[in-house]
Amino acid sequence: MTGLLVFIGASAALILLLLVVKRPANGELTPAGLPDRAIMERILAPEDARYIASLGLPRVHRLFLRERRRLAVRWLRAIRAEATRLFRLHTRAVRQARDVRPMTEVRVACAFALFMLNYAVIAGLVRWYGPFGAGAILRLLDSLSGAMGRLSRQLAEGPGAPASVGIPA
Amino acid sequence: MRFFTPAAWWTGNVVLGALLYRGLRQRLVREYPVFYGYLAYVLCSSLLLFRLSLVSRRAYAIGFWAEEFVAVLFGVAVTWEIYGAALAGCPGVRRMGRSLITLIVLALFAKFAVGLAAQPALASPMELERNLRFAQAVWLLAILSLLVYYGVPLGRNVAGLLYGYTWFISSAVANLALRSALGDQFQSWWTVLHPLAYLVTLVVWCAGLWSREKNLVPNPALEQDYARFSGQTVAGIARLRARLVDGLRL
Repeated sequence: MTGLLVFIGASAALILLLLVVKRPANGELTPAGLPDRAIMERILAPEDARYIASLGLPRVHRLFLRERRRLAVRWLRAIRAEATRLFRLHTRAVRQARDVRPMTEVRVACAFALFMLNYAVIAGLVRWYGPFGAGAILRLLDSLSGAMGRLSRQLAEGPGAPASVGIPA
Repeated sequence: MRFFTPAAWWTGNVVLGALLYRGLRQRLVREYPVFYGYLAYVLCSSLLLFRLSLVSRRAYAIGFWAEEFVAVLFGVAVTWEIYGAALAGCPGVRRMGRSLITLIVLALFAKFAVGLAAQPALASPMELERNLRFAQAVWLLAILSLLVYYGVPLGRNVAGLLYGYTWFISSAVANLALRSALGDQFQSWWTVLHPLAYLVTLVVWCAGLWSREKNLVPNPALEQDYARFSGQTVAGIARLRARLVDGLRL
């Protein structure tokens, strides 16, 4: 049964890849422009959130959070588009190069895969918890990783090291 | 069913003949000699098998599997030709992929050969053909992956060749696997699906290879140093990843 599935799977994979292989034209990959970090700072401005919260209007607050989430997702997508453009630029540029090296190609593919993984996680967090919640989670993860780093350094230094690792309350 | 099989057989031969005629007229034979040699072989063997079927059932069965085996080996050469034609404008990618693909296909052939040596009694001609077609399917998967990854532009002729042959191998692997696994209960389906898939292949080849078209040439070669350009790409993507995380971590 497993053998049959392997054969049918290979056959289905061929058809799926055929659907993906279009006949791409040699079009230009024009830069869409990278969104400024200041835009995200503005989207996540704490004073806006504080002001809306101070109004005490739950519907307006929900609307505010929904809009900020949409803006944050747009911002993330713009960065993803730029990364995809860079990656496509690379694959298009090197396909005629004569000295293409497999390990270099693997390195580029891994860098892009890592970016996409980060994007998927962060976009998921933003959709699920909103930009403010996602930011808080990232800051917490940051401080946790910092604390883990300090802890491992202290463990490496020996038993005489102080016990505090500085995890914020 | 009584009329379908002979009708499919005659239609297939007529379309094959038309394809060969167009190939000669459009001088596509010079560009894809192995492929057109394969078509000529299939047409001749089909007519020979018809003659054998009139002599005896046993002679036809032996002739059929012998023809299939040679066709599979011919198919390997066709796959190699497709690989060369599809990546003609990408010498570096072609060279890089060649060693990888050779390794995969040799490993598969070795696996099947070891399996055959261990249990020769269990290997039927159909299973042997299925395994050889599967090795070709893996090869085509590698070719298609390279084409998708590098966004290689394909001309109409190469695209037709590739689409038709990939469809043919894909349907052959699925049909042979189901026939081996399900046995005689799949026979009635087999007699319809096998010629039908073959006719679809011929139609795709007709659409792609009816007239000669210029192959697309990818954008001009990379003028910068490859290693430096790749390093810049990795650094650029890493910077964007950092910005992605930093943007939210205000």
